Amino acid sequence: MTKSLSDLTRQAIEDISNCSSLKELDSVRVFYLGKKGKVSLELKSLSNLDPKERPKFGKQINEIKKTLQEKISLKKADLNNQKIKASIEDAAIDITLPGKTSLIGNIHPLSKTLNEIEKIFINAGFLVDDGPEIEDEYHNFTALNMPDNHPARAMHDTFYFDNEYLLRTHTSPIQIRTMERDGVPIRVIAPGKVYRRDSDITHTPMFHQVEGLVIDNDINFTHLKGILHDFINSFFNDDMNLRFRPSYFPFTEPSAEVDLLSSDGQWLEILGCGMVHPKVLDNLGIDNKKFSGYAFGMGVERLTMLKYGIKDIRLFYENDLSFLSQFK
Amino acid sequence: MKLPINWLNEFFRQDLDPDNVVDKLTLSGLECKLVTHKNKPVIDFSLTPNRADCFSVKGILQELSAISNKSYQELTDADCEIHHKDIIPIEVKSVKDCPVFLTRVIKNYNNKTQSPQWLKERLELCGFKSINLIVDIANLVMLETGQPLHTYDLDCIKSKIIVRRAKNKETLNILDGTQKILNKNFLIIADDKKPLGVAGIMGSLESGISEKTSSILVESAYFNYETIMGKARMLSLYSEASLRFERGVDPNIQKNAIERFTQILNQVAGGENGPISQSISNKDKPKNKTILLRKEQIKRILGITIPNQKIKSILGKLKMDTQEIDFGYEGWKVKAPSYRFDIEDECDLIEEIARIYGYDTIPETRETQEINLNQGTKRLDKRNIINNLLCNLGYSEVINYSFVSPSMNASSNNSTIDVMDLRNPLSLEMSVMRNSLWPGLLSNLVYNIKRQQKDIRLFEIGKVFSSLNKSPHEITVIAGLAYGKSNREQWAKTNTPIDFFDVKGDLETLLECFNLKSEVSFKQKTHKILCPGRTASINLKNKVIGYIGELNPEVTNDLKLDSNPIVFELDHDVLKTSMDLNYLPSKYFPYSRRDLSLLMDEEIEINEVIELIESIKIKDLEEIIIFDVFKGDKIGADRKSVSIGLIFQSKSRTLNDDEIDQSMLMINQKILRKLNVTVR
Repeated sequence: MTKSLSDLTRQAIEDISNCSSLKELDSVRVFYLGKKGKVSLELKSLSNLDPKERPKFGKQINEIKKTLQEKISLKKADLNNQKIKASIEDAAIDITLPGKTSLIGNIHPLSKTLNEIEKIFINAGFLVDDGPEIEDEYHNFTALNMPDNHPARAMHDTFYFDNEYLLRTHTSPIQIRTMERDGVPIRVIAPGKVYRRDSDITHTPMFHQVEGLVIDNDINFTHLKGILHDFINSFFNDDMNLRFRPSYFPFTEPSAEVDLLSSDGQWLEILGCGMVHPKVLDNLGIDNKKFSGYAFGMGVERLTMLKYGIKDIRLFYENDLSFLSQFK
Repeated sequence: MKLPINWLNEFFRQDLDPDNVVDKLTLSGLECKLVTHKNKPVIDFSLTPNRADCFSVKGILQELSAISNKSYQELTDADCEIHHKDIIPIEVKSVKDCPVFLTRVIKNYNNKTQSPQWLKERLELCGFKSINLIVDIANLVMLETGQPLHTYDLDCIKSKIIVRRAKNKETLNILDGTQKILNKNFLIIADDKKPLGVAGIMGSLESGISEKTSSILVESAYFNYETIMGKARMLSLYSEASLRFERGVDPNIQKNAIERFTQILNQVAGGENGPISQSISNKDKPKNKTILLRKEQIKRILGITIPNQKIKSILGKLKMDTQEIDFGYEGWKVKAPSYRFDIEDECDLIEEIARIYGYDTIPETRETQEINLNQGTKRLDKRNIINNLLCNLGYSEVINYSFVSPSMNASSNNSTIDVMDLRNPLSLEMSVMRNSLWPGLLSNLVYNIKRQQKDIRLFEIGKVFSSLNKSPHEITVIAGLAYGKSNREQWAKTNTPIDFFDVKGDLETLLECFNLKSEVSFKQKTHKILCPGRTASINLKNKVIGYIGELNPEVTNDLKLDSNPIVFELDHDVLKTSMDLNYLPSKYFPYSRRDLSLLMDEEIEINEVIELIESIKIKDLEEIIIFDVFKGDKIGADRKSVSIGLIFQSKSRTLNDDEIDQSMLMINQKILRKLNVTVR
C-alpha cells in the first residue's frame, strides 16, 4: 500500500471516530466514499496506472472502501444509540399532570330506565311500539272500556284540545293501535310520554309510562304474576319480594296493583296490571273465547326514583346538570 | 273516605286490631292506610270507582265479614213514631232518572240545639266539618248507611216537589255562593216555581238550612247513576253525595236512611215527624242480572282450579245468590246483591273469587311461547347510536315538558303553521304544544348558568307539534345546544369559545353514523331566532330537515351570556340504521396529494368551489380537504385565502404524476374560468 493510501485511510478512520453527530458522519462519508469522494477518486485514478498494477491497487482500494463502510456503520449505530440515550435522559415529564380530556355527557336517567325496561322485555320476546301523543277519545278511553262520563275518566285528569283531541293519559292507546294494525296474537310494550293535569311534589303534568300487553291462546293470571316478578327481579337486579293486591282498571278484570317490599319494610306501589277485560277484546273484534291476555303499566319516574333513591319527581324536569351528570 | 276504627268496633263483639284490619282490607282490594287523628286510629280509604258499595260503615262491615269470617251486628232500622200527617206531594217527571224518591216533613224541632260533641267529633274524624245539626246528622247517616240525604228548609218549598230534567240555561244559586247554568242533561229537584237543587250533587242556596229553620223536608232518593255520572265534573262541583250517587247507591236503603235520620234528630232535638211520602217505580230500579259463571272460564283466566266448595263459600260470603248448574260441574248462575253495581259480567265474578281466594295464593308460572327472533331492536339500536355519539361529544340529554308558552312557540319556529292550543292548560306558560325543542334547551341553559355551570352542551329527542287542517301533526326531532368553551379548562389544550363549526362538525359526525353525510347539504338561510349570516338549513336532497345556527344576539342579549349558544334541530326520522350494507373489495394503491391555494372574494362560499371541482368528475379524486382559511390585511379587505388539499387515489392502479398534473390543470382552468379567484 502506498503511503498516500495508508495516510488517507488513517485520516479517514480518525475523521469517522471524531464525528459527534449523524449529520457530520454523513458528510465524512460523502467526503471519502461519495461519488466524488477521495476513495472514489483513487478508484478512478486506477486507469492511469500500468494495467499490471491495476488489480493489486484496485483490490487495496476496495478493501479500504469496505473498511471505511464498516467503520461508518459502526459509528452510525453508536451515534444512534447515543442519540436515543440522550432523548431518554430528556424524556422525563410530570406524569402527575392531568390528561387531556374532552367533555363527556350522559343520557337522562329516565332514558336510562326506559332503555333497561325495553331491553328486558325485548329479551322476553316483546315488540316495542310507539304512537301519537295527541290522541282521540276513542283510543285513549272508549276502546279501553271507559265510555263517556265514566268515573274512571275523572281519575285521568285530561288535557284537551278543540275537536275532541286530547293528550294521551296513558300509553295503552298505542297498544290499541298495534292491535288494529297487527291483530292477535300480540306481545308488545308501549313506552312513552303521557300527560295528566296534575302538578305537585309527587306529580308532574307530563311523565313516562311503559305499558305491556300480551294476547294469545291460554294466557292466564299465573303468567302475569310470573312475567312481572321476573321483570322486577331483572330491573332491580335482585330477588325482590312482591305482593299482588286487587285493584280497579276499566280495561282489566281481574285487576291488580303490585307492591314491592322496600329494604325498610314498606310496601311500595310500583305497577298496575290485570287480565284484559273481555269488553276491550270485543271492541277490537277479537274472539274472547279463543284469546285471553294480560296487560300491565308502570311509571318510569317511579321506578327510577326507587332504583336510585330520588325523592322528588320534579328533579327529572329541572334538567340540572349536577343532577343529570350523576347517571353516567 | 275516612272512618275511625272505634265506629267499626261498635258492631263487633271484640275490638279490631287496626293494623290487621288495614292489611286485610288492602289485600282484598280496598286501598287504605292507618292514620291517627286526635290520638284516635282512623282508616283512610282511597276507594276505586268500582267499589261504590264500600262508601259507608255498612259497606266496610260487609266487606270485613266477607274476608275475615267475623260476624257483625246489623244496623237497626226501626220505624219512627208519626206525629202529624203533613206531606209535600211528589211529582217525579222522569222516573227512569229517579226510581226511588222518599221525603218526610219534620216540624218544630229545637233549632237552638247544637250538634252534640260525639257527633261533631265523629264527623271530624271522618274528615267532615260540622255545619249545623241537620246537615251533620244527614252526613252521619250517609257515612253510616251510604245513602246521601238532602234537607230543605220547609218554608222554602212551594206546594210540591218536582223531579225533572233542567231546562236549557236554567240557573241555580249553589250553597257555595256561585251560580250554575244548567241544561237538559241535568236532573233537578224543584218546586213549581224554581229549582231547589241539582239532583245528587248540591242544593240551592235559598232552600238550605239556616239558623231560622225549624221545620224541614228530608229527601232520600235513588238516582240512576248514569244520570249523575260526570255531572259534578261538568259543574266542577264535587260533593260527597255526587261521589256516591255517580258510582251507585243501593236502591233498597232509602227508607232505612230516612228513618235513621229521624231517629237521631228526635233523640237530639225532638221534632214532629210526618209520614214518609214516596214515589217508587220498582221496574226502573236497577236489576242485577243473573250471570253465568263457568268453572272452566275461572280456570282459563286464573290458571288454577279452585274447588267447588271454596267457590260456593266465597260467593256466599259476598251475599251472592248462587244456583248450581249440573251440580256445579258446569258452574253456577249467580246474582249479586243490589249494592254491587260493579258486578256486571262473568269476569267481574272471577275477580271477586280471585280477590277473596287471595291473589297471593295464586302461583306464578312462565308462559310457553313460540320463540320470535324477529321483533327487532332497531329502535333501541338507533337510540344507542345517537346517545353514545352525542354523549361522547359532550352533550347531556335533557327532557322538557311538551307544552310551552305561546310566545316561546312564536319566536322559535320559522313557519306560520298553526300550533296546538290546550283547552284547559295548567298555566299560560304551559298552554301550547311546543313546535321546537329550542325554547326548552334555552331555559335549561339559563337554569344551569345560574348554577355556575360553564361549558354546557345539551340535547333532547322529542316530539314537536303543529296543527294541519285542524288535525294534530307530530314529528320527532333531535335538537342540541352548545355554549361555552370548546374544551373544558385544562393546561394542555387551547380553549376557544364554541362556534358554528364545532357544532356543525358534531352534526356531520352524527350524520356520518347514519351514512347521510354526503347526502346532506347546508344552505345559508335566515331563521327568526338565529343570527343572520350564521344560520343554515340542513337539507336532505331538496327537503329541509332542520336548522343549525348561532342564536340571534337580540334573543340572548338579556341573558348576559359570555358567548352566543349554537343550536341545531333535525328531523329524527331521517336517521335510519342501515340494514343493507355491502362490502366493496378494495386493493391498496398509494395516493398522491396536491395542494391548491386560492385567493378569492370573501362572498364566495367554499361550497361553490368544491361543487365546481366535483362537477369535473375526475375519476380518481378521492377526497377534498380544506386545510386552511385565512383572512387578513396582507391579502386585502373582503378577500380570503383558502387552501385545499386534493387526494388522488385509484382503486385499480398506481397513478402517475403526469395524469395527476393533467387533472390539476383541468381543475385550475375550471376554477379560474368560473370564479373570480386567483391561484397562488
